[in-house]
Formats: sequence, structure tokens, C-alpha cells
Amino acid sequence: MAATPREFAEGIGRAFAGALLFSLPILMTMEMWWLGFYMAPWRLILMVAAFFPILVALSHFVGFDETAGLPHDIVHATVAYGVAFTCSAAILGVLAILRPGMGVRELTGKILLQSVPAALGALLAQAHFGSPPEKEQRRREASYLSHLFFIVVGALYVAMTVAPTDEMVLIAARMTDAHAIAAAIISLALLHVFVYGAGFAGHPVSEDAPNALRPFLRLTVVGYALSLGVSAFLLWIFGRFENESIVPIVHGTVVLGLPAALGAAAARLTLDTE
Amino acid sequence: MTPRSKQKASEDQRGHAAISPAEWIAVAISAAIVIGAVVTLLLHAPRDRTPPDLVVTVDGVEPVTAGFLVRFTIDNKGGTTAAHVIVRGESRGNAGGEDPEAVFDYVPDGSRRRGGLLFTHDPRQGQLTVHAVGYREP
Repeated sequence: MAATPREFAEGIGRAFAGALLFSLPILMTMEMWWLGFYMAPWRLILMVAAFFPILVALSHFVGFDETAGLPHDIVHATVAYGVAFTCSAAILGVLAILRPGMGVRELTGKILLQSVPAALGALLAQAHFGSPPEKEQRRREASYLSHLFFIVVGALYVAMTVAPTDEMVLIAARMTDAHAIAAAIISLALLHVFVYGAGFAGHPVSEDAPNALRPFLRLTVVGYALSLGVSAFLLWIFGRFENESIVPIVHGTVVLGLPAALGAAAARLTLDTE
Repeated sequence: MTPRSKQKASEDQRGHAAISPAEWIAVAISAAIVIGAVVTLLLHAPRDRTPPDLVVTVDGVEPVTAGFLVRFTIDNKGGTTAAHVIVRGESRGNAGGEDPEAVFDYVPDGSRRRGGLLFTHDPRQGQLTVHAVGYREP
């Protein structure tokens, strides 16, 4: 069944609301304005492209409206970028971040960079404002691989808001190796407690073993590895690894890995349905 | 075929029909916006990442309560962003020997920023120069 124009307008409304809800704090982060112009254009374009498959899959499981298969998911992911761009341009304009005298590249870069988190927010709209039963069923029937996808989305959701800030570099520089190891242990513990401890009895994924080691490896360790992957990707794309030696790179990844792991863990609560 | 995969197959078949005309319009506009932005970015991206080329122009000198204000514009005609740009004004031959400074967080390539320098004596009495004296890479 195709959506009526009214239903579609409601969907677009949800997309705008979701985009704003998630990206307003990021729109008010000055490092994001600066990255918009000093980030190399190829990095920015790569980021927009790399997020597209994530947005398509997100449209399948959450989205801002009902979808009927892959072509429809692709349509919604593209619309999410359009909504996100419009939303970012409007808010950055209102906040006087975009002004006359700025070059075309500066203006375009600033808006396009902010469109990426805003599009993520747009396609998570139904996680905030209620999902149709069809999407809940898709999430209930999710395979192991889909659960790993939820972990990546959760990690991105929380890590994205802090990844561009200078504090990541500053904290990484202050940490000793002992601090980094402690942060990694806390991240793993958080993930494990959220994934298996917080009342998931009867959940298909948490049910599989009386023996504690297997589930630990199956979701916690894999989840943390994915969180570190998300963390390293965001820091790299924002150019935080440039001209750095290996120690600050590892420390930075572990630092951003902490919010990423928290987001990954929380995704088990918000995206997984019993 | 299990009931689930059957349902999935029919979902995929309905995929195209399920997209309403309004959605096609929205997707066309959205795709145009995003592709337009990417193309604009590529067209305006500097060919080479040449160092910042900072050009300062004086827009005017006017008396203010504390002395004299020199308003200026700084343009970056180079290929990369300059961070922490220091602009210094000098008025040679002026009795005070003043050299006020202004600092800009960023002057992106292809963009311009405005600022002002404050003198206690009228800098037009001497030979006024305003120029960028340094920056760092972002």
C-alpha cells in the first residue's frame, strides 16, 4: 500500500523532528562548524557515502515511516539526507553560523557535514515516536548480524555527539596507558551488564548459553570491537589521527570507545524489542 | 519456502508499487540537493592544497571614544584554512609607536572575515599598514 500524501507528510514531519532531536547539540558544537571547512572535501564526501548503507538498513529496521522493501528503504534514506540538509541549513542559518562573506565551499561543507548526523536522527525518528508493528517485528526477527548492526548504530548515536570535540584529543593526551586499560575494562563491563544483565531473560540472543564465556565472546567482545571500530572511523574521518603517533591514536580510540560502547549497550535496550 | 521468506519476497515485489508519487517527488528533490552539494564542494575545492594567502584590506578609519578604529577585511586566497591568524596594524611616523593586534580563530580558504584595530592616536597621521603576521595549520 502506497502512503497517502497526508501519511507521507506526517512521515516527513517525524523525519524533521528526529533530525532536530538528535543533531541540535551537534549543530551547536563549534568544532563541527570548523570541520565543515577545514576537512578535506574527499573525506566529507566519503563520510556521506559511507553512511548511506547504514541509513538504508536503519530505514528497514526503524526509519521515519513504513517501508515495503529495499527500493523503498533506499528512497527513505535519500529523503532523510534531503530533510537533514534542509534542517541543518535552516538551523545553522538561524544560529548565524552561515553568513555573507563566507566562501561557497565553507557554506556547503558546513551544511553537508551536519547532514550526516541529522540524517541518522531522521531515520531513528520511529525509535523515539513509536514504531509501526511491522518494524517491531523486523527487529524481533533480527538475525545475529542485524543485532551487530544495532550495536554499530548505537555506538554511532552516542559517539557522534562527542567525536568532533577537541576534548577527545585532550583527554587522550592526558591519559596514561593504565588509564586507557581501565577505560577499556569499564567499557567491556558496561556492555556485558547491559547486554546480559539488564533483564533480558527469554531474549533469543541472550538465551543461548548456560556457560558464561560464549555469550561474553558472542556479543560483548564483538560489540566492543565494533565500538572501537566506530570510534576509530569517526576520529580518522575527522582528521584526528593526522600526524599522530600510535600511542595517542590508540588512547583516542579507547576514549571515544567508552561513549561508543555505552551507545552500543543502550541500543540493546532501545532497538531490540522483546 | 518458509512463510517468512515468502512474505519477504512479496514485500520486495511490492517495493516499487508501494512508493507513492509524493515520495518520488521528495526523493528527486533530496537527491538533487545532496548531489548538488557534493558537486558544489568538488567544483569549489581548491585544485591544490596551497598554503593560505592572507590579504588584508583597510575598510576605513573612524574616531571612537577610546581613540581611532581601523576596520579591515581579511581574505584567504590560498588553498587551505589558516587557524589562529594574527593581524597587526602599524602606523609608522606616529608619535605613539602603536602596533595593535587582532586574532582570528579561523580564516577558511575562499572566505573572508572582518575585524578592527584600535589606536589611541590618529593612524592616518603616519603611514598605516595592516597585515597578517602569522597563522597555524588547523
